[in-house]
Amino acid sequence: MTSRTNPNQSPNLAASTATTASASSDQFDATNIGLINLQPTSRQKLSALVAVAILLFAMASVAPYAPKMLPRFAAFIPFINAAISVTDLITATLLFAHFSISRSPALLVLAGSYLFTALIVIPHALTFPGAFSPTGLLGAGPQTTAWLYTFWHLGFPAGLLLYVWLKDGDHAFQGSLRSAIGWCTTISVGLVVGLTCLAIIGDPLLPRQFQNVLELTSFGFYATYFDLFVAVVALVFLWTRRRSVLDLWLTVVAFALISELALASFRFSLGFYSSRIFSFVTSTVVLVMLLAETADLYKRLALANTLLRRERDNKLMNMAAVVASISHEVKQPLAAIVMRASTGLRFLGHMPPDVVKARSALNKIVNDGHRASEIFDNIRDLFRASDQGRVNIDVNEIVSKTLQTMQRELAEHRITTRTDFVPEPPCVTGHRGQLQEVLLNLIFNAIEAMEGKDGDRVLSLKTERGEDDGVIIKVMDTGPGIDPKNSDSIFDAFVTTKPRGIGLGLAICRMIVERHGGQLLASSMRAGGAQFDIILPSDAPANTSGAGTTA
Amino acid sequence: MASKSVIHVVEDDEAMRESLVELLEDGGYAVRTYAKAEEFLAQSAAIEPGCIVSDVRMPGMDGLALLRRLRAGGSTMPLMLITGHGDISMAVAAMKAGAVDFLEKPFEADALLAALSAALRHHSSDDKADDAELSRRRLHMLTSREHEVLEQLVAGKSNKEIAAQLGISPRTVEFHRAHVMEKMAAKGLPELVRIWLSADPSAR
Repeated sequence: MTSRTNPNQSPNLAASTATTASASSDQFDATNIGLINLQPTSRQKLSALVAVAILLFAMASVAPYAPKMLPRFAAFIPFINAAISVTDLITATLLFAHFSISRSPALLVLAGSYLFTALIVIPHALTFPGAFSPTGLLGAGPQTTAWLYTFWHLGFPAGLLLYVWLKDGDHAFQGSLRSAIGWCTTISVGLVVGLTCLAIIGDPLLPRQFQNVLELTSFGFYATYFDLFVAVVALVFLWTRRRSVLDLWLTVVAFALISELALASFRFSLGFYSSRIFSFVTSTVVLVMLLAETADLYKRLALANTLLRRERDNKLMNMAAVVASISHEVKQPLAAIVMRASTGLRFLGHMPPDVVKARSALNKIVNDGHRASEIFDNIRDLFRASDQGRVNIDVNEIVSKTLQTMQRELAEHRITTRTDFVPEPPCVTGHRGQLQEVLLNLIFNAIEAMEGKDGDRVLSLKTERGEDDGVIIKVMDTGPGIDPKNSDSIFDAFVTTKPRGIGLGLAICRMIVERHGGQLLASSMRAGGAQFDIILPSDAPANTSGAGTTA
Repeated sequence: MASKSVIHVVEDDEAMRESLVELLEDGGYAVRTYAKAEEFLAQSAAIEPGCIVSDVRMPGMDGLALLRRLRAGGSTMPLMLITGHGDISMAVAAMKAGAVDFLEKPFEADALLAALSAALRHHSSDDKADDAELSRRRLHMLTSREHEVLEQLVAGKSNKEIAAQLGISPRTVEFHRAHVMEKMAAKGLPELVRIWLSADPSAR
């Protein structure tokens, strides 16, 4: 019996309980904090739908008048492109950040697409005829800007398609994040530079999209329709394979892109102005939504972090309390052993040696040694998967049985008991022995608390129906009660003194109850006296069943 | 020994109580035992003078509370605290409350007997003034840094806390601490607190 004791057991158990509890209560894990995996809520779906509806409505009201020519506003393109560049750059940065968290290649591609857009709008504005110079800067030809527009509106939906293609077969990117982002940036910049060169140098060779500064050729329309086609394909794929909040908003973006291309008409027509404004407004809305989602994620992460930290602190406190309680129990016989052994040595040092006394000291040392060992046995038994395991428990029955075993002590201390049982208590499952231990401890505490009391000594035990079909067992005494300033700390600091050989502290009681998925609360009653509530859930959650197997 | 000194043992653990009785009787003392602090207090009016040896952690009133109660009631009987869960702040609190000594369990028979005879001798003699002078002289030997460390130590701070407070490494604190102990001729923290208190009783 003694050889099998394992002093490490209880602390380990305490740790494992806390861990399993945290796993169940914690709804956050690494896979569902990323933007790419977050399911949209119904509120988010609704706002996306509203955005699309507004867009549709605006498009429908503009469409009939799209070809109508409006005054030529030369600064419009530099202005709107600068705005697009800034918002898309921010979006790209945000997506790169999310990529760093989730390591999803799809997000990297998406970030690259936004970066591509943010960059290509720059040569587009610079080469736009009449914006900075009558024929555009950078040595642009008459077709350069149109081609850049085509590349821009081809590149972005192509990026979206690539994103959709990558996102579902999503495997985490393994290599260095820094170099991945570096390469993505390089490719985007390279593409923009290359396409710009192509559009400038190839200007005389490429098919003409504009017959003059304002009017599109039929090829120009075809090019736009081709972009439109790619955008529609992107929209369809995004829509059919949408999963996350991000997918939802990208669908809105694709929709805005289609609106823009569909309205595309001669330069400085109503369609020209409005399509770009719609497009810009939508991309801004999406950016704001992304920022809001990111802020929300951050908030939830911070909260999860706080919860985790608190749980860890609790766990440590719990462990500290359990270790303190065990070490108190074990230190007493150890101290006695050291005392007796050194006293025995004194007896042997006498002239003549007092062998009789020394022998008696040695005998007592043997007993104390066994006692120390038994403490560990008791602790182990307490947490071992008992033979009966978890069973259905009638709380009324367990309370009255426990009271019966305490009859003698209660009578000795002139304590009257009162019981108030709820008829047909909800069934709870648990370890009968462990719950009985908790009750025994609380009753012993009550007896001890009422020891110095002159008036009525009453121990009341009450069972009640708790929330959600749970059960509450109340243990109330008429002792001095709990000092309010101690009511928080009694579970950590206070250690009851061996009611039955082993001093099950309140810390251990609380651990047992928590292991049953419940709570142990202490309070003082208004009329005086302490009240302990054992709150047990109707059906103990699955995580508590692991408790026994660790032992 | 003409008349045996009486030792009052206040200890809730039976084995510990019994072993203390055996040792103390063998050491030439008369022993009275009490399982609880309240039990001792109830009889304290008619108690034979001597020395009290009390456990700190007991159900009901603990040893420290007992000590404070006795001092508040005007009793000057020496009281030695024994505990299995001593920490610095408890030792400091005990010494400040007027304990003659503070022993950590487990301790050996001779350690207890030596501490007891020192306590009884100290209590009966009038050499407290000399003690104070000696302690003051020792205090003067400390460097200012060592002084700072000492003050933190007797305030119940751990090495780590002292290190943070003074902005030095825990290693250095350990180093200073060893010097303080050496210069103050203290074998342990309780003794250090006692010496420090005797140099400046107003610190109580």
